[in-house]
Amino acid sequence: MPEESEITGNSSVERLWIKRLSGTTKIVILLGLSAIGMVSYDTFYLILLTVFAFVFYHAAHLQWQKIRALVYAVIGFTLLNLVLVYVFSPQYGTEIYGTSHVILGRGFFALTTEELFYLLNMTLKYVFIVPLILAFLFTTDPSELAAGMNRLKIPYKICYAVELSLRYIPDFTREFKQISLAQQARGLEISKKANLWQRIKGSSQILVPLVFSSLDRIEVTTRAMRLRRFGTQKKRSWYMTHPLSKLDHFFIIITIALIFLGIWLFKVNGGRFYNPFV
Amino acid sequence: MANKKGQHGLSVQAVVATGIGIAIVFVLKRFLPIPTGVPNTTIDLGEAFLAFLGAIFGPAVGGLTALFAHVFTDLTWGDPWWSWIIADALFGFVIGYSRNFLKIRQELLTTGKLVKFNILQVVANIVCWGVVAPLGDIWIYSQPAGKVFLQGIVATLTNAIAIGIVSTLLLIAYNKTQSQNKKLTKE
Repeated sequence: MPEESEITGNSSVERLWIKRLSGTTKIVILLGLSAIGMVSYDTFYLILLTVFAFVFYHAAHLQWQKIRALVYAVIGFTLLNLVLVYVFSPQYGTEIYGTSHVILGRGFFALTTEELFYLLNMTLKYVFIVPLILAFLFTTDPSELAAGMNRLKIPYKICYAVELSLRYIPDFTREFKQISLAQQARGLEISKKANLWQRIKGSSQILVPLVFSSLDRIEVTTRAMRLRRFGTQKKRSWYMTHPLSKLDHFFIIITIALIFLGIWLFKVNGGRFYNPFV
Repeated sequence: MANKKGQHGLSVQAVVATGIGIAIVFVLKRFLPIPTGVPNTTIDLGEAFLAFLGAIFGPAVGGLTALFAHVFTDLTWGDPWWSWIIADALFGFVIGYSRNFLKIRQELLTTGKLVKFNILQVVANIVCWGVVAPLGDIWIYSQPAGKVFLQGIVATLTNAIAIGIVSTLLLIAYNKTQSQNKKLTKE
């Protein structure tokens, strides 16, 4: 099932260095870069982050078949956002960079170099982290992730909840598909052919069995965990914990250096934007 | 052993409810979006389930479920969008306070309580999707105001409608199963 491999990763690539990277390191890289990339509008810096992300993408040896749908979705989403931004504020680039070099047209919808540059930066912000996420998504073990979160001082109960959810996503995906097919076999139309109201009604008929079976499962799992005295101690150990390797330290240091570089660039540029127009 | 039976932090049930809640919300967001006809906007039954879960298990479960379910959904689309993730977590947290007046596990559900629940959800939707998410887009991502407020308003409307219909119906259905149990224990 493709949904399962999306979450649990592919076991055939066991020997890759990216698979040996600790969950802690992956979380630090992902959150750190995503935070600094979210704020910065420096073109060269964002390109540098994209290159860094591609290092991991390359290391993961992903099959194009598996990620194709995801990549198309990201491209579609990004294009739609670019169009929306342009339609709503074609002069936003001018507002930010303070100058106006018109290429085409005039009036409100005049296309300026500044707007194009702003849109380029925005696209980079959307896509720079995608290769990194693709790589981590397919190479991270769920238990490794929970252990990694716990090492970052996140309370173990929250980590355990996250691990539980990753354990149950394939189950509920299967259950969802079974219910959906069963309801469709009974004549329920939820495809594009049905109108909006029919689809809402149809979807609710899938939702109800799924919700109530999940509530039952909460009861059963809670009882099982209480019997095993879950949550009585202040700490918990993890089977998947292992000490950080040299490689882990190396990437954590690089990430921290990249974040400081980003902050230093705010000072150099006098703000979040790199402005080539003045 | 030195430990007491008392809990540190979340209860066992809260942990399990959060874990299973994240999985269900993720599956619903991922596989059951209903397009409304407006591009890039869907009626999100994941939010409806989230509101229902929060109403039963409270703010901590609601907030954590919303946070992680949104992060996972965004990751499988390739791009975490933090301003909306924060808004979603805040929404889950706020809607969880409906547990305090619904008391669905102890008492019967009344129309008055359902009205209160819906007032809370509409207010929470307006604050989170209509104000927090767009402001986050403007401050964090420097996006133009017109576009983000349009997205925010559409999200507010679709979520308020989805929760208003679907969560309310789920609460009524859940209440029926609960009150039957109660009658049995009284005998």
